[in-house]
Amino acid sequence: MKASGKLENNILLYLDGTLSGKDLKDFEDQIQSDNDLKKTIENFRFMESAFKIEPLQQPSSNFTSRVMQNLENYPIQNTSSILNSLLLIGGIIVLVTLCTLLLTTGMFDSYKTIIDLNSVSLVDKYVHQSLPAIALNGKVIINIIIFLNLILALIVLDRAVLKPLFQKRIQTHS
Amino acid sequence: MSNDQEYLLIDRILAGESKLYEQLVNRYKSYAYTIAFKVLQNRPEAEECGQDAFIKAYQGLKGFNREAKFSTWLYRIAFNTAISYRRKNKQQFQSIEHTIIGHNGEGEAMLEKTDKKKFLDQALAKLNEGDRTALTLFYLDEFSLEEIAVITNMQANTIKVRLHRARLRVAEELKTILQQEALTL
Repeated sequence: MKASGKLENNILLYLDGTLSGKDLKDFEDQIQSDNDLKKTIENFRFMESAFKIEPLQQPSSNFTSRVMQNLENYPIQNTSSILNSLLLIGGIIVLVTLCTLLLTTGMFDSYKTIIDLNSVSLVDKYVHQSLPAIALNGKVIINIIIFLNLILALIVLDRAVLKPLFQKRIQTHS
Repeated sequence: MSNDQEYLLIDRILAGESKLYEQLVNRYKSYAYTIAFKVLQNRPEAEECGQDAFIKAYQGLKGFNREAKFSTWLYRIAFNTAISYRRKNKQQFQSIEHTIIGHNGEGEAMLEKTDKKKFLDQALAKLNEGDRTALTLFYLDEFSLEEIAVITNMQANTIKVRLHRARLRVAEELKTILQQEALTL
């Protein structure tokens, strides 16, 4: 059945019913006059008829019930959350980097204030003792913000990125 | 069921009505199983793989972006799952399909059908899993070439050539098998 590329192409076009007009007539004449080609076509027809026998395989009768039983163990994953979480972590890192840069330049060094609790009218109303004054400076506040952001980034990384990834890996290997 | 109806069904499943997923399983299980079977050539493995594919599809249902048909997306998952099963279990399993198919038909026509199927399976076994699955899907007459390309991870512009070669190869293998069978008679 070693046929040339053009002939092979014509055989498949003929079998698919896409040959028409003069090409079809010529090819049918060629089949009639060439016994090898006739056998090749028969062989192809044999293949095609074999494909038509039970083209779809059927799974067992309890296939669906077994899938449905397992669904509860594998809940729908929020696939977009990993991407969103990575974006959030990216945002936090940018913010922390900016704050750190500003801190190193001494930008917040001059921001200092004292909160005198005795000057708050509500305190006057309910507390009858002298309260201390609280000294605040910008540097400390920014450091606290950076620290809280880093903790937040670690929590997001653990819960929304690493945990789903490891769960997926465990399921793949089990 | 139209695509829109299917999307509505998927929306309800995503909203929490997981029981409705049964409809999708029943609708597509034969195709998913056939794809798994064509790759794995082993019924128990294909059964497990088919179920696994449906569970993976359920888990990732939120990620189904509705650019393609749900069935195409699902069959691609089934194909990829089967490929990873094959890689994982290559050493553990051996194809027993050829021994399962025996001459158990009652009439001659049944025998002929069984033989034809057996010879075709033998010829298909010579192809790689991608070509074997693509060819099976092609002869199911229900998939466009683009869909077959998506399911089997092939390039859309090469699928036609791959199918062309696979058909020629199977026909050639069948010829050899039939000649050998004729000699043993």
